[in-house]
Amino acid sequence: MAKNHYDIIIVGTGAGGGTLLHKLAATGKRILVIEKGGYIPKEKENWDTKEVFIKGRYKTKEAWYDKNGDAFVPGQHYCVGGNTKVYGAALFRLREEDFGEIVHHGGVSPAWPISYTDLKDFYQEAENLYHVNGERGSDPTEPNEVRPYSHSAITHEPRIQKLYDDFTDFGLKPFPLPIGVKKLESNDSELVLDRFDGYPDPTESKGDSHVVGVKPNTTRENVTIWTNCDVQRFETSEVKNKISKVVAIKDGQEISATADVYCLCAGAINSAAILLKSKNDKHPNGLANGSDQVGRNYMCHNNTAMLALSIKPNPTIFGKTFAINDYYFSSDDFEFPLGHIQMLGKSDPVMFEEEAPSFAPGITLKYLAEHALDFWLTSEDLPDRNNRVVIEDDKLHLHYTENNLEGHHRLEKKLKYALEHAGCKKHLIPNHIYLDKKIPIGGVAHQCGTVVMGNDPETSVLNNYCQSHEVENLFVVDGGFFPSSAAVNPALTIMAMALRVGDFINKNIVQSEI
Amino acid sequence: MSKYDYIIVGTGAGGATMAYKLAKSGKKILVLERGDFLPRETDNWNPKAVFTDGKYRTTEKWVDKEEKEFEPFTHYCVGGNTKMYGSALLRMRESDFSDVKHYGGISPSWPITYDDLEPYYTIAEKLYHVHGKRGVDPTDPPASSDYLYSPLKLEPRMKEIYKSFQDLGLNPSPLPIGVKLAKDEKIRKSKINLSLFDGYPDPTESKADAHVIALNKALKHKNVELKTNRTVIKLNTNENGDKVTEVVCLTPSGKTKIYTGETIVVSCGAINSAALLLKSKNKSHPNGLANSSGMVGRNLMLHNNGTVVAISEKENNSKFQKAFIISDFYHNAQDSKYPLGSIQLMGKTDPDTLRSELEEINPDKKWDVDDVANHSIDFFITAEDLPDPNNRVTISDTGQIKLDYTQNNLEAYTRLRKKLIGLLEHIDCEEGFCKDTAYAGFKLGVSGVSHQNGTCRFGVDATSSVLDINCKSHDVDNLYIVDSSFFCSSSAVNPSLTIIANALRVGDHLLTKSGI
Repeated sequence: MAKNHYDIIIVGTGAGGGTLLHKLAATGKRILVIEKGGYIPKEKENWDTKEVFIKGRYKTKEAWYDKNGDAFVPGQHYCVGGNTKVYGAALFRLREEDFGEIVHHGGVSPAWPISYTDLKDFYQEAENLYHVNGERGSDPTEPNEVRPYSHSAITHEPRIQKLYDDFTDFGLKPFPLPIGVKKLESNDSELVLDRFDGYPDPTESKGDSHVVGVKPNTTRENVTIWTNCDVQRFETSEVKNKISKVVAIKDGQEISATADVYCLCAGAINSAAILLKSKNDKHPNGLANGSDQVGRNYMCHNNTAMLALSIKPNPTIFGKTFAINDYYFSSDDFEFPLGHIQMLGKSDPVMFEEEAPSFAPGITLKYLAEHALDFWLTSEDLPDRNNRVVIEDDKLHLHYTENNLEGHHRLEKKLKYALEHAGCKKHLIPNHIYLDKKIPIGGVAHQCGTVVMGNDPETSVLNNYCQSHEVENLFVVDGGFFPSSAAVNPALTIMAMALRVGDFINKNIVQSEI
Repeated sequence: MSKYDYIIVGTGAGGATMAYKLAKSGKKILVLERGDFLPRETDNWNPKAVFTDGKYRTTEKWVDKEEKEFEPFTHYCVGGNTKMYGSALLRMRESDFSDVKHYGGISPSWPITYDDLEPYYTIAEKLYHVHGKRGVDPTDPPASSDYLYSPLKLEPRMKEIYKSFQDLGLNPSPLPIGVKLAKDEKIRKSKINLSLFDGYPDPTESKADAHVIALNKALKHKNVELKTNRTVIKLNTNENGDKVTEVVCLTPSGKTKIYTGETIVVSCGAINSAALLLKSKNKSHPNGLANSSGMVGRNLMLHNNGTVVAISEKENNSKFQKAFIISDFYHNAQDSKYPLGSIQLMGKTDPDTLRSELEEINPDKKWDVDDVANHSIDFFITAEDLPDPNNRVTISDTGQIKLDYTQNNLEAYTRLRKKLIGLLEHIDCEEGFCKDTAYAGFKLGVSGVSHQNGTCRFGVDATSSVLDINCKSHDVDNLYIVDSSFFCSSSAVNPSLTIIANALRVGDHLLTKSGI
């Protein structure tokens, strides 16, 4: 067999690639994993807010360009584990309804070619794999499932419990946020999650794709990992619609490898970019792009971080313990979906250094951090063919215009109303009580949609198993396949899909060829 | 009430290693620890929390010889003081086991030789993942096998200094450090940057401390049970006084718990072990348990330890500064026929300590602490202190631990410090130390108890020692002590590896004795 030939090549080690590796490695198939970054070191800076948030120590320095041609640095992490190294590990299933068509204020959120039932067992498997702590049946919109989470929900700290109770009394149905973090065993040192959401975890307790998917498989003889290796393109064979090799740059040198199956898991944006950069005579618009959908329909959610300033101090260490889905589909005064509200990890004064002074005269950053209640609001954005990844002059352009904002604005108002009318009212500072920030274009954490899946090769890139309609030995397994973005964090759905695709590859692809 | 085959008191270098050693026997083992697990949290890596606020130190107050209260630099937690140690795991030198003449008197010989301990040193080094290199340090004792792991790589500035010392004709050698590195195992994983290591707990659990290395392995065995938050306050004996029958503990809420075991292994640290025996006095043991010799608590040694912070013009951005050791003056020096001690690099002095040191050496100068820290090199010097029966642990009238300790053999320490500074003035001369030299640093006082030892020394003669050569009490048949209490002399290297090796040795003895 040729040198550098493998059964399977996986590009990327995030939620898609890391999980896929976990699923495929045990089969004994020869697998090459190619990761653009290296391992994030375990070091004191992992927990240093300034290093992580202000200096962007673990972020790429790469510049991308927006629709006006202005450069920005995306919140994108090239490392083993990908963006999951710094995620908050909020691991939600989509709602059953999210798989169907939903009419929004801004348009239609299209149906998926699969239903919740197709993913259900894989969701369960993903939740167990990623150590999700949660409480089944507590979320009023959650999809049908009778099997419990393997770990019970994380207990609210007192200030958060108070807020939870206030919201409950107000008539809302807050519920424990499903969080992926290893449960302590009887003789483990206690773990304090004071720097969790947004930070890499030197204790490796967070259920990220490096720790869960990659690390346990690195000792296997059949698994090879190339880190700091940047995939440039796929090349295709003359005769059939098949990839013949992957070409990457490692240590300044071009390097290539071949496989029977190629799984592209570089994240929705980079996967689209790699396909576009792989254009050749047979694929003039980019690889697997006969539909002209590659790179289009980019979605990233309407996300807003909001702080409410309370008179009562908030000494919480880990605040990310509940969420609110009461406005997921509609509200009393709005027939369309608004979105999802979740608590964030506790803010650190350092985070505000650059933005806060104008916020409230006389209020110090320290006061701000000690009194803030931290929320994250997510509303669905809709697929728009003009929101897209484009390669120009070898540079990555991300054209994005926000849409479907009405529901999002209303969601924010609903939260403020609840805060002002629930029991917490008397604790809130009467004026200037909110600091909110709509996440700008660089906030690509929830990227999806760019390599959409569907039944019709004319209008979609991938089939139901994330396999390219055109290029039979290509699978794309990251947020790219999403036909709609829903309004919950996408990670668990990517993981569940990776398990489903892994199963499919094991059963149908690789076995039959050997 | 359940009865255990072994009760081990304490989970530091001695106790945890003993638990590890005995675990495989299948015997029923209870491990008692007065503290709890240290949480893995942001403050683990926060110099202010760790050093200035002493978040992980005990809040207990002890008194000195003038009855003045002080806060001892000691940690009650699972893993004991090894949770914070710099993990410099050195063997004692061969000569340390014999009589050695010092400026201040004689460092007495041990009842065992280096050869008796050598096989256990080898096992201990493997167990604690020691990274080192044999044959570079001229005072290295002979070893039956190589280090399993090669030494940590010197960072550029450390390499320069290392080379400079070599150019002066000295023999610096890599410090043997106990740490689990990514490269130790075949498994590919995240690298560890050891920037806050020496003095800090390690949330990544890479540092080879007694908790991570030994106790965790012991607890995998079903026959081993750990109870935390159990402060042993007294050991009760039978009428004859030849057997400990009860181990009496206090819980944080003030409840008394009593455990019984066939063999009791005490490893509370040299000071607390002595204090426990003294507090356990009864009719058969009027001067304290196992104290017919009157030596319990006496001969307390702490080392003459000090730091020297040399401020150079040249930038030092080393992450892991605890890189090498100079032992050339261990036995003597050109200008000294008696031993001086050892010079090591250490972790960076924390900013608050550095600030106060700088104010002391030059109160008028406005130092920028960060700037100084980016240029300074931090040394830790250790000279032997000698056993003196009047340097002792007692229990004060109010029940507090009292340390009657007067420094001795200071001539060695003073000369060693001068020696180091003299050397530094000859290196880096172009833009280095000699240009605008300043030295900060301090001599550790009575509160610096991390190297505590000697309080229940072992020996052949029951009238002049507390323990026999197997670290069993001469007086009490089922009582062993396996922390550094047994040391007859303090040598001038960090005591941990010797405690660990000795615990393995005594463990072997216990297993043989019980027919395993």
